[in-house]
Amino acid sequence: MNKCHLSITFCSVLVLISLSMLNVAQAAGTPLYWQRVEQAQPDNKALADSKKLVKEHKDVDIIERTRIRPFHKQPAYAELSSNAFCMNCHLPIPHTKNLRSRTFLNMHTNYIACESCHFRPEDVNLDYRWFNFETQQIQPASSQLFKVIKPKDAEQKKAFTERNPLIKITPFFNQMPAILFKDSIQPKALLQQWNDGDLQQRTEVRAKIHVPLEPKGPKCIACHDADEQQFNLEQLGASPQQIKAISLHRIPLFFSRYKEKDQKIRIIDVLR
Amino acid sequence: MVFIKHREFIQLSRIQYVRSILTILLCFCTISIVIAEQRKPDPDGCLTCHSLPGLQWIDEDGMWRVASINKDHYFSSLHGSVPCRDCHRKITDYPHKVENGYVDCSESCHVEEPSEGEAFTHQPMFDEFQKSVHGDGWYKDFAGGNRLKELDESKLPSCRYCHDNALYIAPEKAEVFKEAFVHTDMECGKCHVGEVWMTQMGGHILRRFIGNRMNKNDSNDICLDCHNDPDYLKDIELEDPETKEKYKPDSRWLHAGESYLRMLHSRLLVVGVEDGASCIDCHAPDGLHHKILRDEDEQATTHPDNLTETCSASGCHGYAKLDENNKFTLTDMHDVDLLSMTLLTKTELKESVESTWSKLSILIVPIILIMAIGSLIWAFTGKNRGLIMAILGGEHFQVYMAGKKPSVKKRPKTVAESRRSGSQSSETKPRRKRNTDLAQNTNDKGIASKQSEVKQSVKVSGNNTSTANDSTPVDTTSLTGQQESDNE
Repeated sequence: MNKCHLSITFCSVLVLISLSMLNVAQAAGTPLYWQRVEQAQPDNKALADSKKLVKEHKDVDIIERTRIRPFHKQPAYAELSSNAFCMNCHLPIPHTKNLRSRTFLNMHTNYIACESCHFRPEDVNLDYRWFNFETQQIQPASSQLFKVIKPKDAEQKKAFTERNPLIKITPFFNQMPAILFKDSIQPKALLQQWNDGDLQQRTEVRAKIHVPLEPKGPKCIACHDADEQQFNLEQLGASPQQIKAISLHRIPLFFSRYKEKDQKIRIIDVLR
Repeated sequence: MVFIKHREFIQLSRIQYVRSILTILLCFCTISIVIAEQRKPDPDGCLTCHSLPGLQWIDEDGMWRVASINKDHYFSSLHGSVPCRDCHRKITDYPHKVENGYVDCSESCHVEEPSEGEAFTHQPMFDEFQKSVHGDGWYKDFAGGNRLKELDESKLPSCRYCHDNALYIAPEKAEVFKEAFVHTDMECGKCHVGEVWMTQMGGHILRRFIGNRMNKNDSNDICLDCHNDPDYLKDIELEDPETKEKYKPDSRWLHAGESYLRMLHSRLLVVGVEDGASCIDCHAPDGLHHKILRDEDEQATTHPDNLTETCSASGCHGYAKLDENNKFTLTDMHDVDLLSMTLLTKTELKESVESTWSKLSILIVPIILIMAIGSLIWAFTGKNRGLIMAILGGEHFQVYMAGKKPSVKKRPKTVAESRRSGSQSSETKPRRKRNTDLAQNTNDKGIASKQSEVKQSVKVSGNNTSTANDSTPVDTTSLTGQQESDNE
């Protein structure tokens, strides 16, 4: 009897260990963001906010060109398609509301994945790397991935390549991207629920997806600061000049003067 | 002594006083000149932000807005030396109020016109524009975000509809400009000495001569953007210059661009011959090329009374002035008859109903229909069906041209055949219809009779058929004879 008991106990322990290892392996293959979505339990406030936004939502047809061209020549720099999961619903140029910061934030979407700013779990340390959303491959760190300096002479022009706006600084966890993509398998059922669902179901889906996210990203100074930075710029390949330029940039300094929501500051102060 | 010293002191102090004032004035002038010469193109710091690429958002109308400005292009543009706030006058703070950024193109600038030192202004151009047919178009309140509103409100071209902030010298002309600039400096610089000449006048004049952005094709592109797009123009209403009565434009007006593109005037330009005439060459050859008037306007260069002068100008058609060529100007330069009907829009098709051809078609079309229906009825129910089918190229064509075997068809016996067949057995079938067809088709009884003669001669002379009858009926008979035997 004793032997039998012992063997049963041993077997069950083995089964439990193997099952837990399987769970760990599964978790290791699941992006951290999706793990958090699955665990999410939206509270009443989150559901109410979500309902309001789903109700108010209106689809927008983007007008890329009008018969009247812009008077000033604009740089050909735009990203209107992306494989990011967020782009299932959000516009490719997602920041529209805040008059003061929207253009600057949209500019940053050419360098930084949405989750780098909006997915900031406090209980884990995320690693940030350059990631190509087109090929879904890690991009080796390089100074060329930061703002590139336009070539001055013919020799520089030869070596010059426009930076790809689909290569972005992306959060990694356990050596894999912590984020989802449009073609990720995990959220398929959830997306189907959104597509087929009524107001209530859509409200729940939206709330669940957004629970792990911060509605507002960090302040400019979180990255544009000489002392403390969210990303390790050196590790991302920035040259010392680029690190200095990013850390001591005039515009974030100008923005740090805003203390109130509707405050206005004289433009000329940007030069001081 | 003291007195003298005192006077000297006073005199010295006066001299010093005057000298110091003069020195201050001199310093002020020098500093002013230095400041003027070193005037920064972005004194307000606008380009600190606006030169960043990727500043963009989607506005409430869904319009994709870009706030980034290509800095290199801007400094090399026509407005490169104009600070932002010279045009966007009321913008001082960030975030900006949209209306504070409105631009009025008729305002004078802070940029000095180099020859007389006066503030530059687009006013003369604006005055011409206002008198023109396009005069009610927008000239102020321009902002990036109200382009849709402008298009909704008016189909008349605004300043920015036609003009953007183009480069001061087009890239393809840059090399020529540089060479000419060095040459001008060496040649003209013998008399015109100084920085002002070098930095302002020389470049300014040269640009007018060499670097001028628009050639005839460029300016045509601007006009044709609308005037070669009837779909865009079809809802427009024109106004009679005298009665002010509004009316819909005719197809000649709507297709002015298309008809122009089919005339020699434009074809020459298209193949790179500058002797062709651009839109502006005829419609606004004088002044600042903005005073485009309706043909009906007596002041218009395209008014019938002024065409002789316009056509003979610039060494084009000088002979148009000769009395014996007084019909020259009657040639329609926008002849709608050159256009295919498929180009006409629904509106114009309605209009085309009023043309002479359309009126005539009221008579012609029913007649054609009656004849066609009658022919069909006759073909399928009438007695002369064979003839009709032959005319339509049926069996007749296949037998005589394509060499196919004719089909065998029953036909009623003729009286002669009935008599002949009386001696034959009652099972003998009537002969094919083809011979009869041939006789009917050719409608030549003479040929038919000749055929019977030849048949007889064949019987008589045996093998010598060709020598006896060397004409068409002979060939025909021999062919028919052969075919008959084949069929049998």
